[in-house]
Amino acid sequence: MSWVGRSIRRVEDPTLLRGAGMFVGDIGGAAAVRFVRSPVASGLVRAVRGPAYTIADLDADGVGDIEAVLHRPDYVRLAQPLLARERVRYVGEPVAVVVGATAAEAEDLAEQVELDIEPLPAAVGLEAALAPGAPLVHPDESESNVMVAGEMATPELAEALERAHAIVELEITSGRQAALPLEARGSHAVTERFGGRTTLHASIQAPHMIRTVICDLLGMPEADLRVVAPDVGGAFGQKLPLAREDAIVVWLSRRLGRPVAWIEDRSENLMASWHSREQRYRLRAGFDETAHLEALQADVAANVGAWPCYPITWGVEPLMALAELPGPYTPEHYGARSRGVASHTCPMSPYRGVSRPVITLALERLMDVAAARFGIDPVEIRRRNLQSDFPHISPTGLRHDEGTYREAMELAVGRVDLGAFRARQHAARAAGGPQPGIGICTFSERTGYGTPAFAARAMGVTPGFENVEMSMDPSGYVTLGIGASPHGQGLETALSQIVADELGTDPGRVRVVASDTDRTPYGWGSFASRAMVLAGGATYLAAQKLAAQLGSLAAEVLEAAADDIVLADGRATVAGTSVGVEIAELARIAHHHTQRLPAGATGGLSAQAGYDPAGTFSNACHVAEVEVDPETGGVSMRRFVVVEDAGRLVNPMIADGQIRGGVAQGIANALLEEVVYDGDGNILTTSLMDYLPPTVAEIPDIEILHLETLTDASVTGAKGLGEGGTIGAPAAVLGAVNDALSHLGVELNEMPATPERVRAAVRAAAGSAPAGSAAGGPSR
Amino acid sequence: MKPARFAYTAPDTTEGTLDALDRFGDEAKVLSGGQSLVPMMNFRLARPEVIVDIGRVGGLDGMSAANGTLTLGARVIHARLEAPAVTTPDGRSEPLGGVLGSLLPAVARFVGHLPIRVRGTFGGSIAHADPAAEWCILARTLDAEMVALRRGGERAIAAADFFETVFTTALAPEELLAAVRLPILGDDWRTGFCEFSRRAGDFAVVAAMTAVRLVPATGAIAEARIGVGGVAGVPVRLGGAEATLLGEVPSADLHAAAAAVAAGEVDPVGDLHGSAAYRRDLVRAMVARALAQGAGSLR
Amino acid sequence: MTEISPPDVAVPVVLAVNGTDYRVAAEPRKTLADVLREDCGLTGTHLGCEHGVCGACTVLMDGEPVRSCLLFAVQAQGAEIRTVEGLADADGTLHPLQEAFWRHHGLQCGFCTPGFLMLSAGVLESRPDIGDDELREALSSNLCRCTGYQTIVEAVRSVRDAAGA
Repeated sequence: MSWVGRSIRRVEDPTLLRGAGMFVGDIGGAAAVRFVRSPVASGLVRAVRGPAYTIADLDADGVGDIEAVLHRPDYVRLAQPLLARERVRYVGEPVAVVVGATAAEAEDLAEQVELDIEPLPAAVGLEAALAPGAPLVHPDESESNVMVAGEMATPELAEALERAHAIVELEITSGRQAALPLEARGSHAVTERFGGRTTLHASIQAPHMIRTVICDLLGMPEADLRVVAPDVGGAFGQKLPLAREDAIVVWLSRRLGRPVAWIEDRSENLMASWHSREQRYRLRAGFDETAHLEALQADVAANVGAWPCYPITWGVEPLMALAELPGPYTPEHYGARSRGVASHTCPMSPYRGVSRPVITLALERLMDVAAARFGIDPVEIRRRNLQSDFPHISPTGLRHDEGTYREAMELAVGRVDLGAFRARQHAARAAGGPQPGIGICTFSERTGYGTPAFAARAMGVTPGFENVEMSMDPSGYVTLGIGASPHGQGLETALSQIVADELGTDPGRVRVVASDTDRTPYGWGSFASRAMVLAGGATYLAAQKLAAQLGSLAAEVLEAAADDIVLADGRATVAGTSVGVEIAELARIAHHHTQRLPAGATGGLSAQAGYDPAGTFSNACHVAEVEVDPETGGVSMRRFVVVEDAGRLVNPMIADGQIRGGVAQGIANALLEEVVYDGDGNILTTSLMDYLPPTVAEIPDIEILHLETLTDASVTGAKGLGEGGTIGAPAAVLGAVNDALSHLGVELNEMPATPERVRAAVRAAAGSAPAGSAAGGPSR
Repeated sequence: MKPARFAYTAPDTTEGTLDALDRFGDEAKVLSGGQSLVPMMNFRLARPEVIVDIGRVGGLDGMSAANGTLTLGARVIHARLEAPAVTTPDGRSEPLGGVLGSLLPAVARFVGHLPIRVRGTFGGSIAHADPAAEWCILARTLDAEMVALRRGGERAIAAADFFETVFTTALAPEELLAAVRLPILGDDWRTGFCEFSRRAGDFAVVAAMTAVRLVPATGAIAEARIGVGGVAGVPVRLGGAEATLLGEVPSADLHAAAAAVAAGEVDPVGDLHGSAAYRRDLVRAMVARALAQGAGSLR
Repeated sequence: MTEISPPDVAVPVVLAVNGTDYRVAAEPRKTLADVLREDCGLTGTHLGCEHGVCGACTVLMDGEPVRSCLLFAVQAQGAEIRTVEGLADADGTLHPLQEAFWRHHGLQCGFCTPGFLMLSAGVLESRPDIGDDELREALSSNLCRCTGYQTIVEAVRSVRDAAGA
């Protein structure tokens, strides 16, 4: 019986359930580091007075600036100091750093530091930063706030739009949001008194990459820095880029010769950790008479904040939109301009889904609006437009491997019984009061991509491959070292299932070692829905090699042909016979009785493998049912259905957990969560009473169905699915809100659809609609 | 997010508390349940020099009913008001019945979350004076009296005078809020409480409480009270909307008319959680719903 | 006159945690959460917001779930405190809630888990027959960013149902 495909309990859990996990803040024994942050959005630093280290101290030690590079002609290249040098560019930018005996005392010290900053005008928000004469965020390096731009068009786009049967235009905006891991960021560094080697524990997603960049900045050999990501309390992209604070913690521990730790508090996390997703899409779409999307033109702009993030840069949001906008649809003609615009706001990093939640919102709203224009059902217009011939090559050259776009949608809408819903909706419209609505979202999720995809981005470093190292010890237990860096995804459990199948052993005999640069092969960590495909693929390949070694050894011991050896249930047996040997016995022999090995073989059982695929597309359909209160604008979730096709599911329970958690974030992104600045660049959402992650009361149960398209784009057949929930849910929810209020003439194309925005849309529609229609009158 | 330093004292008597307040004056802050004060201290938005913890003071957590008045000790926790019980003169505990017996639990369920309700206190909420806090709205709507003690003295402060502005009350630095007196509403009263918040357990963006007394014979409204929170620095009474109701028989149309007057009567200041216009819309919706709830036509 | 503890002196505090008395010295400003973590070495109680919203720091005090970030340690003197470390049996056998969270996949990163376990333990101990709606309302006290909550609710419900069966 296969272990892959079974919902076994996670090996990670017992420790966490006992409260015995080790998060960075649990290590202790260190002086407390606190950052003194800019209280103004833009200004010149005149002086820093008080018991603090500043950029002058870093400069004196020769600490370098961060260079997050894209090799593109339209990219403005910057050197970012670890603490503000002459200018501050956002509220929360670190200007100075203090060290105290305790966190409270460090906070006392930080209050004594006086920042003398001459305030300057600030450009806050996308429109302000794009306006002519806007204050410039990097006036010495760029004459505008556009820091990165991309543009492309297929040759006949203009003509195709010209001859289209119908043109639909749409503007979609997304508010600024925060990934909000429940554990904020943090780091803890100890430098050995003898030898001077430093160990950094940090709440991060990519320990090897962080080791590289910190060593580059501090001018030290990588061998002298060990980076460990211990238990990490959620990340969702926010812990992928280099945190300036982490580099400073390493520097301080080496300079002071004592352990130091920075434990970010929630207010700092909301103010000065990475934000995401402030974007605007203007779409112009040409449909033919059958309501097929023929031509799509887009103008995308993203407010990417004050600085790029390393190593992804601030190109990731706008350029992903440029490359992936056609989504699961098949316009023959496509063109887009996409810009990353700097402003005096917190920098951005990729957050679960990156641009795709907004891309998907834009496309799905486009389909719904077009369906209404053509007078056809939202399901029908998608039937006519979704990819169905595979591989599908997009206008931007992306290869979509086989998926089940239409099948997933049919299954999802069948599940909710659209006919019965429409009858209920009709009755509710007649009755007034809360209005039910339903929204459909079909989308693709690009996952598991390696070097080729990253190379196309032309970053200063090219992430991609994953390597694993596997060995079996004399007791027959397997140790698997991986370069991926799981932090809650259950990867250790899933990989142990793959190993168990290939080696005929039990997952309980597999130990996965991750997130420690001293004990694992160099790799790129966990992000971008990649680990199951890449680390899983490498694990599968390594396990096959190890299985071959066991097979050869068993053949020798059993005096059989290697091809006849079957590994199962902890034994190596000769196929079709009961002749066999315990795998643990083979492990003993391989280490302790190497005289029994075939001639020329050396002792030990180990293998390594790497995997670096081009990538694969998962797909899914989300259906959301909501109830909207037109008087308050309040939206409550009533039902949520997901049909997911992520290829082979290694552990369905874990896969469902990823989907549910992702959908919950997507619902919250759609309705609740927004980082808000005032016009001067002061951030207003620095507590969880102002920035609003959801409770269980706001999140419905999520029904999940699976399709399993086995792709040859992934050696295990598994596709990634870590981000899909968050990608699809906002569009499904906003579609449902719009559907609920369509009889009032409401069109709402902004996320989050806060109650105030929903209410304002109802009011606006009432103002422009025939009298009486706002009070729950007849459908238009 | 660690609080600034403070000196700490935890008297075990009311007298000891009043002595400490007298001694430290406005350097001191009373700590009751701490569910509002401590977050502000963790943010260092509140930086008292001295914390006077009344958690060990006996006798401040009684609930008793006498002479048409329900007296709630300042240290009665929110959770106890989910199933309120009063101590009778002969020392027995019996469930609070009547209109308040159903109103208090209906309001209590909106107060924060379970862990907040088992620590936070009724008096603490009143003294904290958040203008959107449920108990402040209730106190203002029902014209509660706040019993303030000081060394050698006691005074009662009417709700209308007690709430001065955001987080600011008429309590003098040396005074302790010891109890709150609520009028026991007769069975001819109909009450409603509605609030709109972004998430379960959050502070209300706008909350409304209504109480109307009906003439038994005619069913007409003889007395009306409408209080709302989230529209000003203090919970406010809406006299214009109240007047609309007087002499009329409750109906959906009447409620809508009163709610419209209420929306016109408030002058909210917009903030992150809602613009002035939006808050006005919410006042309209919440007042109409609270009235309907009182009339039994809404849950 | 009642004793006044000055601000910058650590005062002796005896905390009864999981049946053990911990004698520590804490400045008045030090929260129960910080004393549990730093002075008692009980780091299973986590800090997610330090302003009483997320509930990661939830512990039981005299049987009731409370936010340990909103309590000063000096206030907890004399109370019975229970933390996640005290949930399993002395022989290591997991508490039924821990088992249920494991079986139902009620955790991913595990950071909110101790708080949810203590919240649930407090709720089920005081209201073993709590209804589904009330349970959901009680669980809305804490935040989880990973699971979407459904499996947490299922886990706690299963323990309630098993106890009532």
